[in-house]
Amino acid sequence: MPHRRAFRSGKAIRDKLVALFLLGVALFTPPLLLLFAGGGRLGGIPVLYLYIFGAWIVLTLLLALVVERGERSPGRGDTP
Amino acid sequence: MSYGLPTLISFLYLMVLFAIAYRGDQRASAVGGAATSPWVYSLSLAVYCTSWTFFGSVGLASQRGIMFLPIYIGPTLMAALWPMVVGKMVRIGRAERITSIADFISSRYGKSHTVGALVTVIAIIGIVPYISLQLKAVSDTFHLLVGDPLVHPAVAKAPVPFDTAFHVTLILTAFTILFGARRIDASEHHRGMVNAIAFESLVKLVSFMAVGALVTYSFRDGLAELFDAAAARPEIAGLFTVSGAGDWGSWLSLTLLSMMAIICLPRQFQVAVVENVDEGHVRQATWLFPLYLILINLFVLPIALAGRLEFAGLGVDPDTYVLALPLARESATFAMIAFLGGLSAATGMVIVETIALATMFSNYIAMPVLVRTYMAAQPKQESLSGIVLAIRRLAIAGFLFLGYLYARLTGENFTLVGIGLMSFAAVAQFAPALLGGLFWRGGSKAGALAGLGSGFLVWAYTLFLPSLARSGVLPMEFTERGLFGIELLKPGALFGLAGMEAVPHALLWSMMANVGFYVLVSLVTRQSAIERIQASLFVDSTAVPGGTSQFWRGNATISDLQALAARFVGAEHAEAAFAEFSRSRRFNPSRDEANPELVEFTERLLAGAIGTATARVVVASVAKGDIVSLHEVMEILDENSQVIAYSHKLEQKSRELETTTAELRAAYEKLTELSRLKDEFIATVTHELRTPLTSIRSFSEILFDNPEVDVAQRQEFLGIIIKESERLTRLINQVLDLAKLEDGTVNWDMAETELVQTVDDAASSVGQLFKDKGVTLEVIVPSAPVWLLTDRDRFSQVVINLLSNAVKFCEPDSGRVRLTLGDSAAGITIAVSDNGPGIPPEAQQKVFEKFQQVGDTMTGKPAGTGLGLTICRNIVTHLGGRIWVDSHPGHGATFSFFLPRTQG
Repeated sequence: MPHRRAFRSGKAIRDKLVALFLLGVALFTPPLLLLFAGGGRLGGIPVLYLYIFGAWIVLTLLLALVVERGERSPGRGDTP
Repeated sequence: MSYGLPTLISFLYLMVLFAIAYRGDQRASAVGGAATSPWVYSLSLAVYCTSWTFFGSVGLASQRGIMFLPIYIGPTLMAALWPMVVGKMVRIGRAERITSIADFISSRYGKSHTVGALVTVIAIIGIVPYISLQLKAVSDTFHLLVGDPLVHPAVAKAPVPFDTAFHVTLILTAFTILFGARRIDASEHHRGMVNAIAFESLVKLVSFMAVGALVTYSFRDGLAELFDAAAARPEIAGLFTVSGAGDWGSWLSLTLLSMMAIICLPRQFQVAVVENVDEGHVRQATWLFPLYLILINLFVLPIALAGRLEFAGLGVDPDTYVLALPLARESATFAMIAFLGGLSAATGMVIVETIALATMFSNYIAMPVLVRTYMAAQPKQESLSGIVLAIRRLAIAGFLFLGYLYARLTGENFTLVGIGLMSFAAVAQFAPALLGGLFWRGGSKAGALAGLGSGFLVWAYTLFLPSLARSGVLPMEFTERGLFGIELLKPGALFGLAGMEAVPHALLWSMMANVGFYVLVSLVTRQSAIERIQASLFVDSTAVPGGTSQFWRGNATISDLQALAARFVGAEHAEAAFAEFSRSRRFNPSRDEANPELVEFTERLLAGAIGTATARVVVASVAKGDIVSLHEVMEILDENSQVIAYSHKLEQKSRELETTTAELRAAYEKLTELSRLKDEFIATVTHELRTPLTSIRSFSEILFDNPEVDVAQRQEFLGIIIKESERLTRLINQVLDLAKLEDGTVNWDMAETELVQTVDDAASSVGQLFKDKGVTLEVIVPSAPVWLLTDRDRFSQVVINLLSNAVKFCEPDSGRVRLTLGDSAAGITIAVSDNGPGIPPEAQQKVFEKFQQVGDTMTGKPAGTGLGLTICRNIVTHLGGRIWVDSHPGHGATFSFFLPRTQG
């Protein structure tokens, strides 16, 4: 039943996206941000600034990975 | 720089933009609007980044550090949910021919005009300041570019005809009308506009990054040096840290606000949902759009820091740093690039936003009035499409001039970000009705009206009116002392909630009112039939089986419907659409009576041009009759959900059946195999029984027929008969024994048994056989007693069987058999070796099978029944052990079995 499998892979992608959303919420809310808000600097650049952009880039990469892999192999969405 | 060059370049830029849009429109009509790239879609989403982003972010960053970021992090988080949220809206939008966010919300709540109109009013009031922000940004930066730089221009003071902002308004009005209201389209798509917006997004990104790189690496010596210099100044170093719970409160509320804004802003809804031509693009935008946001924000803080270092104490407006920095270093090219980037950010926003607002205005404010008055007065008027077009053009002009008015009235009192956030908070009011309507079937029209209305009022009271008061349009009194002098009603600290910034404060109260009333009123009111249908369509988002046309009762003539469509979308297009419909549905146009399907088709056709609510009203004016009763709607919906439930159940049942069938088939195969084995067994047994019987019978007959046979011979014959009868008895006993063992009816008498004695007893019971044949038997047992939990009789039977088997194959007189009993912790092993001819390897596997006799069965008489070893194997297996044979042909054979000490 190919449509079934396509549906399942769509659902797997959705689940992963929701997980990434939650990861993003965790990354960009105070408890984690507070760790870097002290004003320290790394190589001259404030760590807060580095952390936010780093986390942002990682999150975007993960999003790309999830949707692009899911799209290229429809039906194999279950395999990580 | 003189006026001439920047003006010329700006016009050229707008022309290029228009050329792109024009080509896009031409190509769209040529190929039917298909074939666009996901890149264009994602770039068009970046219309989110306006001059607020381009100039305002730097302004905010220069004052508050990283606080400019939540506005872009919110949309990134939301992007992860896009396939679920926007994807669903796209599917519904396509099916319902949605033209705007007002259309979407109105359609969800029973195609209600009231809901659509309320959304439109909120959007207009909320967005006009945002439009004014763009005008202000363009005129300010233009002044900066051409006039005396580095001092703040007093734009608002110039009389209107000489005001740059006014010129900008005029030019943008003309261009927006060219882009979005050149002609009335039957389609809600503006292919060309989307292409132009995508191009603008590219221009502003490249321009901002170019200026950022210039400032960071040419004006300063790279990031590290810039941050070092900034850290050296205590008043700037504070920007690297975040202090205080208030800041984090703002951070959270701005993130939340922008998450809602990214789907609720009319222009975002326009590009993300209405202009979407391929649902797959939504998925790619999930990461392409966040990528864009990262890139455009990369240099915000560096530019802000460079600006503060450069202009310390000079009183330059931080919102203009992007342009002021290249100007201060006399880099005219980069100043022009920065200006063009800002221009593209502003024009992109203005074009999409005003087109979206104009569509909403014409569909939900102007059209209902027009339809009610005009159509009633002149029912057979030719075409309304000209009027629709005029309304849209006027609306576009109107919004831009309102924006200009707002900019002129509020003057210099606000930063770009302040105005933008106010607009965000206004459109955020749509979120509960929009998202609630998408995922909660119970949300009702009354609930949506209550939520939207209350949220909007709180927003206006806490944010919008104070902004007007501060600029002198309204008296300041109520903002400082509360309405009617009541302290608890102070807009900035409602009900005494002081100490928050204005935007988080307004967001908190308006959302509380909005969500609270939406849910509460939805719960206590009843939905009408059409609300119920639409709710079901939106929430389930899969088409109702059987189509929605089953909900409509009424009759109309085809010619009436076509005439109606022609009035709104043009005669040519209406005719083509109707022809296409009758062709695809094999509809016979000779009968003039329209079926419900065609009525619904007409409504959808019109919805694309005049909005769903108005389309419903005008179609209803032609198609007499109405939607079926609520009771019937519930019945149909219930029927459908029952059908779906049944089919789910059926599917499950059929899966169960499949597994059962597979199991049955396996069982059947096993049974067939068993039955075949049984047949074989019976055939063999019968054969084995016949041999001794035949021999008994023949000798009896000889004796019977020849009474004169002499005594010696008679004795010999009777001896044979007795021997064969014994063999027959033995065979029958063994068959019975085996049958009992196999069907498990044997009584096992398990007890601790001393094996040395048992083995000795077994050996002596077959001692006579050995003596008769002259075969030596050697028994080797341990000196100590060996105990094992087993069945003594069965154990002896195995040993006896093996011994009699061994003696059978030994040569008389020279034969030797050795029996050993081995004892270990794991269990005991019995081995019986003989020095007979041995068993060839290929036969070793088969000796334990029934009726498998080793040896030349053709010549030699069978020495045994062929069941002994089978019985042995059955017993040993039952006792949890195993039995096997080792043999080299010519060197005898060793039959061994092992019984474990612990049995399960």
